[in-house]
Amino acid sequence: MDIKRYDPKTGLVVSGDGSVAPAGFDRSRLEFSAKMDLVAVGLAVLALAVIVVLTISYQLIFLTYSIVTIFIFLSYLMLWLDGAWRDDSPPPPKKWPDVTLIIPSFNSGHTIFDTVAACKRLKYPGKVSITVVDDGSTDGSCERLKKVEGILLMRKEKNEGKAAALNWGISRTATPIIGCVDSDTYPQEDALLKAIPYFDGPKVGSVVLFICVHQPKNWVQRMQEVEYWISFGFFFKTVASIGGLYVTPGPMALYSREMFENLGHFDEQNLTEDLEIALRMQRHGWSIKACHTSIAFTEVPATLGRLFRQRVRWFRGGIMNMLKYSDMLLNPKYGSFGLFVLPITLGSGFFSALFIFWTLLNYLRAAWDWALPWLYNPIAAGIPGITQPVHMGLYMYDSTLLFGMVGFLVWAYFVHKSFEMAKETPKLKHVVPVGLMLWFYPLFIGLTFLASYVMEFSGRKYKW
Amino acid sequence: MNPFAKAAILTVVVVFFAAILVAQVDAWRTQELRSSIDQVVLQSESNRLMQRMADLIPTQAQKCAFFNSSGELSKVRAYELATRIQDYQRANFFGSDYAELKQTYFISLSDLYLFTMEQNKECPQNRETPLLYFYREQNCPQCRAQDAVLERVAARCGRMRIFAFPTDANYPFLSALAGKMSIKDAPQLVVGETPMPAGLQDDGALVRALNADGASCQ
Repeated sequence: MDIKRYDPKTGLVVSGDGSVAPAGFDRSRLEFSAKMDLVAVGLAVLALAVIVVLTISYQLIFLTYSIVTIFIFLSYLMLWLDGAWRDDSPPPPKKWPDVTLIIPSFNSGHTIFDTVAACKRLKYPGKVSITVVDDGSTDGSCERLKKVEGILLMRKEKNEGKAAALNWGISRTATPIIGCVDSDTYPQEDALLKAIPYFDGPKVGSVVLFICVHQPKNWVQRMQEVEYWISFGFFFKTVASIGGLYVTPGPMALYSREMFENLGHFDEQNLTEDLEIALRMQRHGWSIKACHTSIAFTEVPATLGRLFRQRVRWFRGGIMNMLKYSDMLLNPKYGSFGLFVLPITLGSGFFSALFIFWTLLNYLRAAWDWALPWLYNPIAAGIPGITQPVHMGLYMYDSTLLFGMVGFLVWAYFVHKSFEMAKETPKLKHVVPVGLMLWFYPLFIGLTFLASYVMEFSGRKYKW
Repeated sequence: MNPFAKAAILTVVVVFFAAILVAQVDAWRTQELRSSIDQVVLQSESNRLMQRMADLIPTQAQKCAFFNSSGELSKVRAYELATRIQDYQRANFFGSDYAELKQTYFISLSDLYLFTMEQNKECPQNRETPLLYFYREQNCPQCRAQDAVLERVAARCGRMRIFAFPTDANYPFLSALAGKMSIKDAPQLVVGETPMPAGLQDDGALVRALNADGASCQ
C-alpha cells in the first residue's frame, strides 16, 4: 500500500515508503520572510492595547466586547436550537470495520497500563487491534509492556514526538479505521460502538469523542472538568452540526485510513498535529463528526504550572496553524467554517487575550487607586471594615455590567446543557469550579495566550 | 434563515432592550442622587426662609430660640455625597445632568456654610463649628486619606458640620471661597475661620483644632 507522506514544508502529499519524516520533533519554522515585521506588528498591537486602556474609557471597551460576545453566544444558541440539540445517531453499519488503536507512549509507565486495559475492555463487534508505539521511553515501561498480552508493541529507539510515533504506527497498520489514543486516556467500554457508526459517508475523515476529565482531584482539575464538558461537549456538538469542527482532540479520536492516504499523515513538525490535521481535512472537504455519547476520560494537569505549559503548547500550535491556514479565515469558499468557526475559535483567542489584558490593567489601576491612600499614610487611611467603614451600594456598579449579564445568562444555559450532556446533575461541589471558570479561568487563559503570542513570534524554542 | 443572520438580528434586539434597561438604571441612580442633593437644597432654602421669618421676631434671644427649635434636616455627610456624585457619574453609561446636579449641590452647600457662619455670629449659644474641607477630585491620594480621617472624627464630634469643596471643579463661587480662605493646596482644612496647614491632618491634630473651636469632640 502506497502510504502518502505529508510534507509540511511544501504542504504537498508525497508518495513515500511510509517511513516517518527524518527531521524528528522540531518546531515548525515559519517560512514567512517578513517574520520580523510580524513581531513588530505584534508588539505594536500590544502597545496600542496599553494606550487604549489608558485613554479610552473601560466602559466602551467592555461594551464592545460584551456585544461581540453576545453575538457569538447567540450564534451558538441559534445553531443549538436549529438542530444541534438533536441526537441523530446514525444506524449501526452493516459490517463493523476493523479498528487499530495506536497508543504512542513516552515514559508513561504510570498510566499506559490503565490505558491498555481500558482499550482491551472495549466492546465492539468488529476486530480491535491495539498497537503501542514506544517512543524511546527510558522509564522501563517498554520492558514491562512486553509482558502485556493482546497488544502489538513497537519500539522506536529515538524519541521523535507524538506525531512521529503515530505516523510510525499508522504506516504499519492496514485497518480502515485508526484510533489515536493518548497514553493517559481511558475510553469507555461502548466508545467504539457508539462512534464507529458516524463513519457513514465516503469523506468522513474523523469522528471525535466526548473527552472528559478522569477523576479530578483538586480545584485545578475540577475547573478543567467543567471546561471540557462545555468545550468538548456542548460547543463541539454545536459546531459539528455545521461541519465546523476545527480540531480532532489529541486524547482520543478516530480517523479513516482513506483520509490519511489522500491527505497524508500527521505533521511531525507541528506542535498541535491534532489541530493541523483537522484544518487540513477541512481544507480538502473531508468532514469531522462528533459523537457526544462516546466518552473517553483523560488525565489533565494538576497544577497551574503544568496547565500553563499545556495551554502554551496548544495556543502556540493554534497561532502556528492559524498562520498556516490563514487563507481559510473569512473565506466564503469554506462556508460557515471559514466565515464563523475559524475566526471565532482561532481569532477570538487573540482578542479575548487583549480584552483580558485590558481588564487586568483596569483592575490594577483600580487597585492602585484604592491602595494609594493606604500606601501614602496607612494610619490615616485606616483599614476598611475595621477602623474605617465600607460604603457600598447597588448603584456603585457600572451600568455596562448589565450588557455582560446578558452574555452570562446565555453562557449559564450552555453550562446547563453541558452538564446534561455529561449526565451530571449540578451540585454544590460544582459551584466553585463553575465560578472559577467564569472569573479566574478567562484571566488565566488570556494571560497564557498573551505569553504564547510573545513566545511564538519571538521564535522561542518549544520545550515539552 | 441562516442561524448567524438570526443571531445578528437577535443581538440587535437584545442590545436594544439591554440599553433601555441600562438607561433606566442610570435614571434610578441619578434620581437617588438627586433626592440626597435635594435634602441639601431644601435645608439651604429652609434656612433662608427662616432667616426672613426671623426678621419679624423682635428680640435676638427669641430669634435664636426660633432657629434652635426649627429642627434640622438630616445631616448629610457632605463629603460622602460629593464622592458619590463622582462614583455615580463614572458608573453611568448614558450621559446625564451630573454637571448640573453637581453645581446645584455645591451652590446649596456654599449657602449652608455661609448661613452657618452668620448664625454662629448672631446666636453663639447655638454655635456649630464649621469645618471647611478643600480637596482635589483627581489624583489626590492624600485627599482620600483625609476623607477617612474626617469620617472617623465626625463620628466623635458633636457640634460640628463638614463642608467639602473640590478645588479643581472650576466653579467661580468656590474659587472665591478658596481665595478668601487663602487655600494653597489640597487637602486643606479650615476650622471655623482658621485655616490649618495644607496637607493631610491626622485624627489627633484635627480633634485638637475642633475642640479649640468648641466642637466638643470625644
